[in-house]
Amino acid sequence: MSSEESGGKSLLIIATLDTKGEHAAYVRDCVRSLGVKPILMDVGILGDPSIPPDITKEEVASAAGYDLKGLIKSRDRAGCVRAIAEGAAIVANRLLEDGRIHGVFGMGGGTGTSIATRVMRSLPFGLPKVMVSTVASRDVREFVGTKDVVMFHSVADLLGLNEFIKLILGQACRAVCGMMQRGTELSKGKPMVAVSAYGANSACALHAQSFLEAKGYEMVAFHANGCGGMAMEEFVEQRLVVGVLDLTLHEIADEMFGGYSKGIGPMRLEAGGVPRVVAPGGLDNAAFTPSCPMPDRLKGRKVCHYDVRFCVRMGPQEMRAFARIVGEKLRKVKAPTHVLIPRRGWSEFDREGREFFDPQADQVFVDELKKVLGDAVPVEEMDVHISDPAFARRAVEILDEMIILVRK
Amino acid sequence: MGRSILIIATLDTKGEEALFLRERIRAQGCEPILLDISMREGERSGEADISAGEVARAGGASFQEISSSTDRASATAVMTRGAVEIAKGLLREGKIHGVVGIGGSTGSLMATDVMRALPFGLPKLMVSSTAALPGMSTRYIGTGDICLFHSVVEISGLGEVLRNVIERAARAICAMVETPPLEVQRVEGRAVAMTMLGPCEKCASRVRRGLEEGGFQVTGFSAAGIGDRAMEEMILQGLFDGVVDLAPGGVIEHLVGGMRDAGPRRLEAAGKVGIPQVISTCGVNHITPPKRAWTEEHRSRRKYDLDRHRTWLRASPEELREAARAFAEKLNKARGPVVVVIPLKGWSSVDQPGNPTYDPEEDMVFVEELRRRLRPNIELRTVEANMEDPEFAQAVLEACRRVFPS
Repeated sequence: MSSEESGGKSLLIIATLDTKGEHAAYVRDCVRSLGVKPILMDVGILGDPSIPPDITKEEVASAAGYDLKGLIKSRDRAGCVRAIAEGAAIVANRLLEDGRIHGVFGMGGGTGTSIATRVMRSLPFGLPKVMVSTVASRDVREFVGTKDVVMFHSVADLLGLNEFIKLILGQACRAVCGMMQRGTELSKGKPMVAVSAYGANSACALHAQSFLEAKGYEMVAFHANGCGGMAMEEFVEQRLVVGVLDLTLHEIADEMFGGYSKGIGPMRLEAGGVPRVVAPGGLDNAAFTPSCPMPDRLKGRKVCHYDVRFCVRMGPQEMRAFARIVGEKLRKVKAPTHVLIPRRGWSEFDREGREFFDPQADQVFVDELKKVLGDAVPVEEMDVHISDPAFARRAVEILDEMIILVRK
Repeated sequence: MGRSILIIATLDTKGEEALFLRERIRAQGCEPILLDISMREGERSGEADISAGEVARAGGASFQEISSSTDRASATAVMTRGAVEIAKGLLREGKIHGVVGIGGSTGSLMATDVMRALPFGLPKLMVSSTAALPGMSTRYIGTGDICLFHSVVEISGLGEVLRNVIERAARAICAMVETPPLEVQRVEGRAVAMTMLGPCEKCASRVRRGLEEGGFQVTGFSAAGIGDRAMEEMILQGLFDGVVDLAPGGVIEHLVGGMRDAGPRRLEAAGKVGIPQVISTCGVNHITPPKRAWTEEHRSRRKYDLDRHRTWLRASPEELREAARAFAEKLNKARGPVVVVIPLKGWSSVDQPGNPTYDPEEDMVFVEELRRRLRPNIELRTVEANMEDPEFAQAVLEACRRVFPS
């Protein structure tokens, strides 16, 4: 890669310079040799930095209003880490707003990974983010979250600079600098519409895709698996999409019972600013696996098995609870919203003839939702199954109307 | 120049996306080779450089058998085996310089299985829509040097967002293959692997400094069950000239099902390859079964809380004896020189007078059993010190000087 191709680009390097100074210096020099300007941010709290940073840990903490010296004296380690992470995110976002960074690089063990990825998760999708971590092979859900973080497993410890670590750091530097070259910016093509989907409700998303394309939109699909739904909300907040077809609410059921797609954040269904059509796809069931076992209180319910997962039919009691959760959230949303209900089933499992077919239970949801929403949000019913092309066509039609209205 | 990159994807479900990745890699001036690991025929199947049929054959079946099979697990295994064979063959012939995969759950599992079968140091990038799901990165990466790129959006339909992810992935892998390979950077004959844990950190850094002064390059591995496993694999790959195994607790943990379990092959690679090893015992007198698996008997044991999440239980005399037998059996098979160095006043910073699990007398159960079982030409030295005392690190360094290449 010549310096011309990545010319004028800067990389923010986040590291604890008290313990990983050697590694940070290697990364700084490597990045510089690739024609990218390094900006070194110190987030180490244990001791003095072993190489001079461009942004000191005191500056980092004070950006979030903390006095680091006082915190260190108080020996409150968790407090120090929180202050540094909060400050680092604020500084990074400021640098980005000023157009002074074009990518982020982190390296570290448990604490270093936690601080650097906290910063990465606060930055927008599309900005290159590379994390070299000794704990990449553990559960990285809390580190990566809903963002496009690239995790490099260091395999060996980040202790001492040896040929293995140099090799991994070298690959990671090249990866991030490569990702920062001209032509990798997220360009605005056709207006994008976010669609929530999952396996048992994928036909609906596929139909929606063709109707969206016919109207000049592009679909961006999110897997409603506990993580994808929240990623979609962040796309809305970042205004990367002009509208939302929230056709899969399955995550709400799993969240309630600790199922496979649990772990959604409190913001699910609540990001405002763009029009949203909501349908209860997959809300007829909660899914479980051996590692997310079914709670005892669901014993005796109807069950459908597929691969290692199995799903359980939700009854009238849950439907009422779901309606209250969804209703309360939608009342809060500051954007045009429209609920669309298919009366003949919400997933592959509750089609007519399948195990979960039970329109009466579903109706409890609809009635309760109408009660909670009142006049705030329209609830429209259709006498079809959710996979019927007519359903997706109507959803796209409503969304398109709302988008046009908002534009005016 | 002229570097080649192997692309692993399922063309039946991710055809468009894989073809776009191939195009973008070509645009970077690299030579893409698209390997199809689909188990069904798709519209784009004909566009692979290495077809799913060839992969199936290399795995020992016909594509007909794979695509008509209802046993998904064994079909997946055949395709993975075939892809590994083909990838290894290409690598041997110097025809690939990096690997990139793109996929959802199944695609990520299969592609990363292939990547883990390839040597450390070869750039490996996996673009996965399921990278952030609970537990998945552990299955995808394991002990491998795999880099995981969370696509955030579904890999389904080439929208602007996914195109951007693929563009960045293409740039990343094409840049990664420019990294000078390990052979160029490595100092011949001086590469030492060392296991360590927090409770023997002082000893580890003293030994590391001592070895570095002697011209060795030391690579540390966390002995928490993944790093130490990775070390064993890298030793088998011929990447090290000596081992300082300060924390082989993964052996006893394997026997009792503890969280630091490092698999059945722990402590065997160095012996198999024939490189010299110096062994000590940090953490070998403690076990860490997951709390949900604790029995009444576990609850009654002496314990030490390492931090909020980790509690070390004192190993029982019987477990110590059993561990000693396992150590002896593994070390007796070693083809290279072995020295065991054991501190008599505690095997880590956890073993301090006053701590409930401190019991140097009971530690002797292990020492005596090991002495009885080791073949006579393996030296077992004891040192009147704690693992973290400077004189113990000195004793380890002395042993290194005797058996490591000078």
